[in-house]
Amino acid sequence: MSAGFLEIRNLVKRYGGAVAVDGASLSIAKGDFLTLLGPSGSGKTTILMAIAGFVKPTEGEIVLSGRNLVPLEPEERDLGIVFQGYALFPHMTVAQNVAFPLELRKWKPDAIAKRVEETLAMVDLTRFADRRPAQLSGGQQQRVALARCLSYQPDLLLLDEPLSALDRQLRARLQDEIKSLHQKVGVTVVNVTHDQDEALSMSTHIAVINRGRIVQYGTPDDIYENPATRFVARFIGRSNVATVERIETKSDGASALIAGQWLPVEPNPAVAGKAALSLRPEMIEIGPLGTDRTDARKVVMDARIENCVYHGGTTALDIRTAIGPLRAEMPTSRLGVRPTAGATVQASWPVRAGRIVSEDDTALDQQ
Amino acid sequence: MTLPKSVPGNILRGLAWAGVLFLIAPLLVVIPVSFTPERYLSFPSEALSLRHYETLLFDRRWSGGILTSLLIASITTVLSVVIGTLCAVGMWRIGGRRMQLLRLMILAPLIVPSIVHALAFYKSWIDLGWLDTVWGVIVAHTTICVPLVMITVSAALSGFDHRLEYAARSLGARPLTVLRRIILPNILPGVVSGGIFAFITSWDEIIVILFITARKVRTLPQTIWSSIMERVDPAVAAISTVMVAATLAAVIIKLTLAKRAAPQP
Repeated sequence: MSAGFLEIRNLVKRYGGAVAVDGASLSIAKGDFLTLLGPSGSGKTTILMAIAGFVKPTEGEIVLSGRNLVPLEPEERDLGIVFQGYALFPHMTVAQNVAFPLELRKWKPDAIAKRVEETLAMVDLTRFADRRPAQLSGGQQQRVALARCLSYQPDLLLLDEPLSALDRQLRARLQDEIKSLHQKVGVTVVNVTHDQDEALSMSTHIAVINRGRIVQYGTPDDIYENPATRFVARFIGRSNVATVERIETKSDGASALIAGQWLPVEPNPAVAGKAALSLRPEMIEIGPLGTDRTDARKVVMDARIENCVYHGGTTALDIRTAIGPLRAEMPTSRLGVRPTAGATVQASWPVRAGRIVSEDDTALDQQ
Repeated sequence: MTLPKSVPGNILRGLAWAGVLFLIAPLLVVIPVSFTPERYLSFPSEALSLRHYETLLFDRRWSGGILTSLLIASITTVLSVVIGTLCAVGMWRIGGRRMQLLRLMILAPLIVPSIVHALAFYKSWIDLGWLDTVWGVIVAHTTICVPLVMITVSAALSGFDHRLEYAARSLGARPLTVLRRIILPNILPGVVSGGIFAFITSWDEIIVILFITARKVRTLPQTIWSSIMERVDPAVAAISTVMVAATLAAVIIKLTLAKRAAPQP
């Protein structure tokens, strides 16, 4: 791989005996929007804070456009960070907050005034220039925090779960705003979140992190469609994952032994060692019993409905099948049966929808 | 105010006022006494006189005591505000269990009885040769006042988000700039009230003074003390009245300033 704009090489952070980050390596290009996605305690924030300079790595390098950041103090790194809770200075007005980094950079007063005005116009906050942060809504504060970071045009913008405190609707709107701002300004972004929807909708690249390791790195659609491990499949898209006991390949294709049942699958040469089958809930089709079972491109089996939850446009069903409990999600309009708990129905999915993944994250290292 | 008009409510109110009276009455008594024309403590019977106020101004013992106390209290305030604030900010930044222990140790002077304290100062000041010097008193008072400032500043810091410091540094501010432009403006109320506590404490501290000064350094509390011990001088009532008036003036100024600051958007 050629040298990227931001390179993280074998980053390790230990706190006493506990390992927060366990050899993470990443390389992203200028203009990328990278999301570090993982559950809480996975080490994603530690990686972000190491880039920012507030966590000193135990081992490893962080290089930003050829400049090694590790020995630099946070204030020498020239990055922008939007913190969880925004960290706006409560004793300053919006305009003073945005002017602060420019004053530190010894800009002339008229240049500062001009840039503050431009930046506030960009985030549509011109009217609020003289207000205090406490007088703004959560969404407005968020935009002030962004403006404060963008005013001095840093090479890299770091986002530390800036949206997690907001309600769903506002979050969706701000996701769009950040995304369009990213396209408009062209700044490279590293975002941290535990929200898979946010990661999928905003990013150009996602690094899925678990227990201090980068489990999978790729574009959102790649990660969603081709999860590498059980963890990725579960964490992103809440996939059904069943342990595969054995895979056999014959002339008519590969089959996997799951809970005593042989199912046709598509082989995945990338998986060595223990394997599992991942099946997206929305790929499972629920219909009345007795449909044609001879279609070789489909897996068909009986299922008993245990529970169903109506979400309006979609309906979620917990079903029990020969290979264990599964979760299915279907557009309500396409449900072939009236879903009632206890009813026996037919579940089916295309063979290619079942994806062979690695059972555990550590098996990836042997690849 | 919607207190119920029931009897218990009235009794409660009566008790409250009785409490207020109990606290304030002794203060009010000194005011008429200070205007007595006599040379001993008494209520003025016929004429009022300002002679005891004159004494405060022109008697070297009184005016010297006031000036010495002002000097000591001012320098003590500045020193303990600077040391106490830096100490509190530093401990806030480091955090953790060890800092809790250290905090307890630093707050110890508040827990130890003053008399024990005074004895300790006396013993050490003999060895250091600081007895009966203004600097000796200032060092002793600063030791007593630093914990007071630390308490109020720590309280102000407990509501201060660490991320503000991180944010400022990521925006390019060096640690000293962060202290000056971000931390201090936000904890200023705590610093100011710590300073006020420090000033008042030093201003009327008597026990340590009695131990570590003799002839050369005479503070106001010491003058009051000896004038009561020696001859019950009504000038004591006069200085008390001046101090009550000064406190009242300070409170009124504070309230007016607060009122003026409040309607700001």
